Amino acid sequence: MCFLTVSVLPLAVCSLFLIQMFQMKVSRDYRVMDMEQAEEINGRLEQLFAEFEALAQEFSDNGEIAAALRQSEAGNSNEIYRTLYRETKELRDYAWFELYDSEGVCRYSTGAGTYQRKLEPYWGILRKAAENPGGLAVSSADDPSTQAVLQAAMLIEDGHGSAGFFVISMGVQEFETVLKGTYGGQDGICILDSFLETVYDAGTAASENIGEVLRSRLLRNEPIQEDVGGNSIYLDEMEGIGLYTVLLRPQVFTASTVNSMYSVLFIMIAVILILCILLVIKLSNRLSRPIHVLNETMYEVQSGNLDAHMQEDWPTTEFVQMSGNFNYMTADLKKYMEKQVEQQKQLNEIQIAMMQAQLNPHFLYNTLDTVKWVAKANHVPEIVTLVSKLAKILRASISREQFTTLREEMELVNSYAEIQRIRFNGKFECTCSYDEKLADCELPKLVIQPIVENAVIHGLSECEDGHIRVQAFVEEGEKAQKLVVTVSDDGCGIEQAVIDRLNNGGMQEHTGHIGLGNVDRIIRLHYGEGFGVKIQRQEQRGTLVILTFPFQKERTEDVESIGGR
Amino acid sequence: MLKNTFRKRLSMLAVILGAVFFGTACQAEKNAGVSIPEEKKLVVYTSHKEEVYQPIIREFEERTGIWVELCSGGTSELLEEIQASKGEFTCDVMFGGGIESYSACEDCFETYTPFTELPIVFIYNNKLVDSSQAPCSWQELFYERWQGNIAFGDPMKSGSSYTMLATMIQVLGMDPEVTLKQFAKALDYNVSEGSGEAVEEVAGGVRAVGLTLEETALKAIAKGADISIVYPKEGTSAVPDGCGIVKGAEHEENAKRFLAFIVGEDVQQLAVDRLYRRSVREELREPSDTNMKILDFDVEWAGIHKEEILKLWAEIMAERGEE
Repeated sequence: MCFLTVSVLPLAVCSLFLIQMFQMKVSRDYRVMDMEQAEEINGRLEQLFAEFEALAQEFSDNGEIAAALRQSEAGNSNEIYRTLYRETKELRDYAWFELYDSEGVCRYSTGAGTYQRKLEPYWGILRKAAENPGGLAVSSADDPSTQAVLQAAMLIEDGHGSAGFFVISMGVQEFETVLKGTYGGQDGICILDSFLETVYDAGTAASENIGEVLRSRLLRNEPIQEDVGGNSIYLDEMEGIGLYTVLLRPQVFTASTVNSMYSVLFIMIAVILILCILLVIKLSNRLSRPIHVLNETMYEVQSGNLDAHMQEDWPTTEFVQMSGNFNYMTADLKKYMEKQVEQQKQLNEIQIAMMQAQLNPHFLYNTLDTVKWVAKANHVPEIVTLVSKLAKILRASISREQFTTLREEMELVNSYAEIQRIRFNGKFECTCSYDEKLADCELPKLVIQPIVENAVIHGLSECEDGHIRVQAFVEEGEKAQKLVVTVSDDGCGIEQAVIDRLNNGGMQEHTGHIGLGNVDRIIRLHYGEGFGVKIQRQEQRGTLVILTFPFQKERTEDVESIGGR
Repeated sequence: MLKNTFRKRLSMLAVILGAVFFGTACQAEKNAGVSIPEEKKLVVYTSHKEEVYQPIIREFEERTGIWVELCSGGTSELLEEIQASKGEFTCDVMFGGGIESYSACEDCFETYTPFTELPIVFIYNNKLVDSSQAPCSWQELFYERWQGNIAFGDPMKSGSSYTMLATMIQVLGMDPEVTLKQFAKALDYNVSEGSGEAVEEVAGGVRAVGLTLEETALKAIAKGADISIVYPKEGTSAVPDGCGIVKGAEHEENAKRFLAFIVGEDVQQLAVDRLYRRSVREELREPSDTNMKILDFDVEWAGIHKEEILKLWAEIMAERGEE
């Protein structure tokens, strides 16, 4: 809607404005032109009548002519005619000239067939002339028997009073000659007398009968110069003559011209409307459809379908990038989720395996207790020690807790070492050392024992006098402090190639070191990369296994008791 | 906020549209009307021909400065309109039409006056009829040699033709029916369209003799028709045409001036000089008029019996058609 307003309204307003301006301007220009033309016509006629008047004046003052008109017989008619023809030479194309005696009988004429014709001296033009001696009377000819449409007359006087009349007559042909070239083929021209009766008309003025139209308008008090039949009217008075010229000019802007201009405008508006609509559809395709698709895909992802994929072939680069990024994001999310699930699965597997290993622990525990009491009764102290240590290990391993403290873990290692020492007849020694401050540090249970077991079984199996040293200390890490536990032995050691393989993630595969691998995995699963198990060859002999954990105190009440210390 | 912007927009639009239509408004204010004051107007109904009324009306305008609004038509048509208007203004002056029409609706007119007299005359074609042979009395028209050779306008259409019939009946003093039957037979039951056409028929040699108004005949002669006029020796009627001021005239003063003007010397002189009519003014009668015997035509009788006589005429003509 907004779009349409912006695109169509300015055009419509501008065009309307332009049409109006154009119409006004052109009409005004034409009006000025037409008025000039009307004035020119008027001027030409006024000049003609001025010449007529000058001529008439000459004749009315001519005593010879007056005398000739008083004579009943044509005495020196040739002389009079010579004068008449000589004086009227230049104007004879525009009128014919006659001399009437006081009775109204035509005595001399430059026209044809008017000799001895009578004009009533008490009527019309001759009366007017008689009433106005010395002036040129102009009147439309009302006698249908003459060719003249307009007559002008002047009284000829001598010492004895009026002798006759000098009459100038103009017919239709004479008017045509006068007005030739002043108006075009589509124009009309009309000469009206002082009562707006038509004297002469031509062109559209004749076909529109303009004289009658104007006269009836005047009598009905209607505006006179209103357009007639698509023609503009220009009415001018000939000063001092009592005649009017009317010029008709076809209107520059007829209703049909204006209408066609408006219809062009409407067609243009319609075309623009259609273009606008097409553009709107196209734009909405480019903008709103990708957004819509994106929204849908997002909703799909939201409801759990990480496989949702968004199409990327949009016409706009921004949308291509956006959908690409979105797809990349969902793919990443999916990968991460899968990894999470996989990790959880592995943990579960390990726990199941451990639980399977806990088969009937209470029975085992009770049995061990019985064995202990039997040994006590029979005074076999080694058995008592063995069994009580074993029970300790067993209790730790069947506990449901996943985490334990460093102290407990170290005790466990000691118990294990005690058992193994008895078993291997004291062939090795095991020492655990750690700062008492670290006793409450938290770590997953049963992670040090398998390493020690490894050292006993693999490292010291062929030695007579072995040493195993377990140490715990704090090391400053990149971000936070790390708890480091090292297990070193001076046994046979592991070959460097095996160590390399183990350190490079091959712990799980190595069948001989399942314990090592499990420990590494447990640490990594709990704390992530950066923690775990590292194996090094000792410089002299034996192996060094380094376990790293994040340094954190136990999160139970013990933490508070440590903090309170 | 939104409303405010909208209003602002609306007012801007209004300004633009206003500017657009200002242009159109500008064009409308053209020429202020020039008007004629009522006291300089006169409305005239006329049944005269243009060649008669035009010079008179123009001269009247020229002399008095009064603008005459003219409406021309047939006598009966115009009079019917005046009668039908029932006091509502139609015109000031009725100009033209036989005086009997004025007497027929006297109550429509404040006053009326005869304008010119129009005698009925015989005409004959100079080429076909010798002047010694020409009919010179009404009675002679019934002679067998003229049977079917007489041009006569249809009285059903032409008022002057009816006047001729009425004159004939009055002149001959016979029973109207007998007169009409004899005359119809003399015409051989042929009539022309109007009295004007009757003249043309005679001038053109279609018929040898004819009945018409003196005015029409003189005009034809002036135009070069080779015909002659005979004034019937029993006498003829010269029914004047009239001119009257209509009751309820809005421009009564001007109407009075018009009536005074048309019976005045100049117009009467013009009627004689140019219009071939006879003046109602005694002093303008020419001496040659004396050879014409004007009957004391009973206009009233003609008016009263018009319908009856025309009906009779129509029956006679129709009977002939059936034979």
